[in-house]
Amino acid sequence: MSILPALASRRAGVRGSAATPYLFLLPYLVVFVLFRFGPVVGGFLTSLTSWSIVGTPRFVGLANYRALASDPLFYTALKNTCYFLVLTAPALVLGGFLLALLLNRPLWGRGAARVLIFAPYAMMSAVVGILWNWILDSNFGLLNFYLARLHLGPIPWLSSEAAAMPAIALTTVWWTVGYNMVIFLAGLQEIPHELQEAARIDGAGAWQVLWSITVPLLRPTTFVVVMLTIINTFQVFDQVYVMTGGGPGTATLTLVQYLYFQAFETFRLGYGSAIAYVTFAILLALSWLHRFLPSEVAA
Amino acid sequence: MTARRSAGGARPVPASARARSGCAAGKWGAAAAAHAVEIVCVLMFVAPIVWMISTSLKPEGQILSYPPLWIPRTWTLENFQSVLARFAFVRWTVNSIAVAVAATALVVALDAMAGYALARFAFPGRSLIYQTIIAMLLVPIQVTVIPLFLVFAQMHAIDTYQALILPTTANVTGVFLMRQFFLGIPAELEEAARIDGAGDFRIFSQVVLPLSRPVMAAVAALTFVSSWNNFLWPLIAVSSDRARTLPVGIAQYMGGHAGTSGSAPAFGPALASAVMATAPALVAFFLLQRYFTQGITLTGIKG
Amino acid sequence: MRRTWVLILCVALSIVVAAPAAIPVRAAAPTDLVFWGGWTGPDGDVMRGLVDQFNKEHPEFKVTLTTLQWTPLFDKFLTSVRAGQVPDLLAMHPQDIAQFSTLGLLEPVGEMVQHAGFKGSDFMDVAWKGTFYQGTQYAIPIDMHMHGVYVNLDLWAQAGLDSNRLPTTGTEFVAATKRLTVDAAGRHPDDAGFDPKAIKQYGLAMPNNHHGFYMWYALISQQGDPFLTADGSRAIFSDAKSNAAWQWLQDLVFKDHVVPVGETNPYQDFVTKRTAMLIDGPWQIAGLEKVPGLRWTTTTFPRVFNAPAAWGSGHLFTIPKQSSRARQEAAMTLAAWLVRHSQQWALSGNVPALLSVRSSAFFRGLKGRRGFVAEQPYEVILPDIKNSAQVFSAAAPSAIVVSAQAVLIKGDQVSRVTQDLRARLNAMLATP
Repeated sequence: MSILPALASRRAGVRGSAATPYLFLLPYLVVFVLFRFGPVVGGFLTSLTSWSIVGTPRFVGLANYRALASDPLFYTALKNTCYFLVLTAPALVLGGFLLALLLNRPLWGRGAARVLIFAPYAMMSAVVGILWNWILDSNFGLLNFYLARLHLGPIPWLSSEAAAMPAIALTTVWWTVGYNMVIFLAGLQEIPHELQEAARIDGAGAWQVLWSITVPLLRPTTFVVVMLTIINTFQVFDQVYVMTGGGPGTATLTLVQYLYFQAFETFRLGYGSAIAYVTFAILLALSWLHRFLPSEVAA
Repeated sequence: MTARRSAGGARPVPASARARSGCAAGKWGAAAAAHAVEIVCVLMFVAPIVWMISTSLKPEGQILSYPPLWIPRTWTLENFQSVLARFAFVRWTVNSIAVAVAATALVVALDAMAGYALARFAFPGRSLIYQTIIAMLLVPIQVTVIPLFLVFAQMHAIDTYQALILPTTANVTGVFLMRQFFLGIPAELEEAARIDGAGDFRIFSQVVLPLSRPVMAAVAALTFVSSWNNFLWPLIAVSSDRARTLPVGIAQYMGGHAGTSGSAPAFGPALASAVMATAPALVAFFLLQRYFTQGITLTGIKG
Repeated sequence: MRRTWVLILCVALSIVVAAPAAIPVRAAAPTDLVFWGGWTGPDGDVMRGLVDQFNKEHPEFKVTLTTLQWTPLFDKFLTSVRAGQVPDLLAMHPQDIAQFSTLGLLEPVGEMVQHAGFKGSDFMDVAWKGTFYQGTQYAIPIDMHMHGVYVNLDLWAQAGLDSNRLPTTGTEFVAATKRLTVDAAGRHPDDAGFDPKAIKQYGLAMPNNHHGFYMWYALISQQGDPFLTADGSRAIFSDAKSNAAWQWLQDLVFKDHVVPVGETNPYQDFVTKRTAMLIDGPWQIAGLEKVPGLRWTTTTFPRVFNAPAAWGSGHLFTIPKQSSRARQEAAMTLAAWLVRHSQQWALSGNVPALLSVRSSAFFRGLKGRRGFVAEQPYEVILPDIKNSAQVFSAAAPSAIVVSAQAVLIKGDQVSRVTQDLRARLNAMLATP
């Protein structure tokens, strides 16, 4: 069967049967409904029950949500998650942006630098957690050693309520800022050189080029990075599980950690599902915020 | 993105227009500074990895020593041997590989077909189906873990490969990327093939797919890494070494932290297992980072 | 292209469908035994060695040992019950029996234990009794363990203390820890000019996780304070005694400065000689024996209040309910074999429950057990309640861990911690 290229005929040939698109879609849809969509709906139904892991479910309506509204540990988890967000998101977005700016310049070895800075992202969370458990060790850890050189007292990173969340934030930034850098780099490379050249010829300094051209043109990319960062940091679980388990005390208890604790360590599946749904609702709300931003930003 | 005239165009030349009138030393200074910053940044990201490798090669006595030594005084493989002797590390790795390979193959196959259907065909329900699929992007995966657990428990399929592969196969980003890509392919080629009498599946496999290597590679890379690093669901779904994957094995056996029972494992074996788990991933990453970056870029820019 | 496509799909599908970990059909032959236990420290290595030996001696069996920390282990047990795949032999503690037997998950083993040739008088009374719940026996015991104090003999001698006079009372204990705590200028906590920020050596390392709670439990028991009602439905410890217990522990950290604040790894602190003493259980012995240049011994948990008491527990083997009687009997064979090899298990540090081993010359000749053995008559075990996995969970946000860390890491006011602990415990106990 020869395929004649560039036969720019708009005449739609005889299409296959009407069932064809469904056939193409079917394998995916089956998996999707069974293992993604179904569970999402199922999760909501589960949140309306009281269900112990070895028992049978009992319908309780919105009782779980009511209990959640007066659960101090839930609010702690919410507060901690927001705190984590505040600690990591600006660093991740700004860090990614600055690194991309730096490595967009014609520097020697920038290709290798980009790959090396991105490399931590390829490491699994358990490994990152173990490595940083070691680096943050109060007595023999690398970080405290260098802090001591700067005459800053040893900080009990993972066993002090004040320092535990910043420790996890630091780990997270090291681990994932490369991802944001890659996205920003792609965005930077889409900015036409001519614009920046024109500005410079017109006499603009490097700062002005940055503020007047680069940043505005990067807004859609920045928007994507901010949304992805917020969504991902809100769902933090892995590093917390490996490094502190939610401790010391409840200092690093995050929403997903609390979900896991309720569902799989206290065996209240219904209650755990309610926590999951509330987290989902908050994320939805956060992502709808973009409607309130200037229209040129909405990608 | 609309191009705008730079605001600087109408202004007088600022006094600090170093870029044009700066002396050579100023330019070199800026370049040197930039290179210095580059080196510092790279060091900050690479140093922990080097430290991980260095620690894994030290005997326990040297690990807990102060000041820390970057280069071991005596090298030893005892940490690696200890891990391999005491834990089913190889089995975990094999499980991770099998699950990731199967999930990746399935995702690429299923998502390509689904993306094609959504991009090329007009059929009743298309919009609804697509919107539903995309809506799932906003749903955090944690919402699904409890019901997924109940489903697989009911089928007595906990602690199996299926339990690990199938939820990953239901991913959304792949469909999204595929559809975007197919929309970007000019329809003429397919029309031409249709005129020649080719059936839908033939057009798909012989015309469209060969053109789709970039997106397929990107989706494959993203899915493989995502499956490889997947943690929460495997943590719940796995209860024995039969299906235990690498991240879960390492976290459960090597992770110890304030708040768990007072038997935090020694650092040597923990870091040796970290090195063994990371080395193949890093090697693969360095070889394939192009596709991975591509995938992220596609998600980022278009998304 | 099409052929490659099909090939890839075939590979994927075959992995999915025919994988070695495919939907399991339980092996018909009772040879593949699944054994779960929570020994993740050096004692885990000893158990692994025992299992290997069993496999060698019994080629008709193939036992796989899974070790996870106790709390996640029980979590996994419940999820695997839900999934219909239980382990054949499950280790646990006396205080866990109530929950799992009430849920109907454990097989009564009275007859099987008898058939294996054991009777009550073979074992320590406490250990044997711990295998019963409401008159039915659900387990066979193998050891007891409890909190004790490890002492670094070299640092002890350096401080001019007599190693024949190890502390037994709270006062002696605190005095010793102060002698063993030195700051950079060589001063002790009670000396003028002592600088708590420049301490070079601490007197004591102690756990601040759920084991911190266990120490509190021992201290209220020392005051004769009951912890829960007999039916386990309410917490009835008194404010005054609870506060006294927490306060004594907290003062060690914040007032006397003999314990480092915010320890993440007390065992590591002891091994690296950052501290001269360590409160921990006997499971560390197997690891301590391998540390070069460390001379140590053990003594009892200090008697701070009226009567001596120390937290204790034990390991016992249970047989989960399942459809295959053959597998259950095979599991009992394994359990009986392990109990008969208590001498080897004693090398893990735990004190054997089998009287013949415990009173043997071999055991008495083992180094460093004396503190634990001396304490054994005074050990207090946690009450056996129906939701022990939740109430006594070692997960970070659990009530017992939060209270211990509030006292020992944050330095919170103990009266508030007592109130919070009681409130949270009662909330959980009221709805088993």
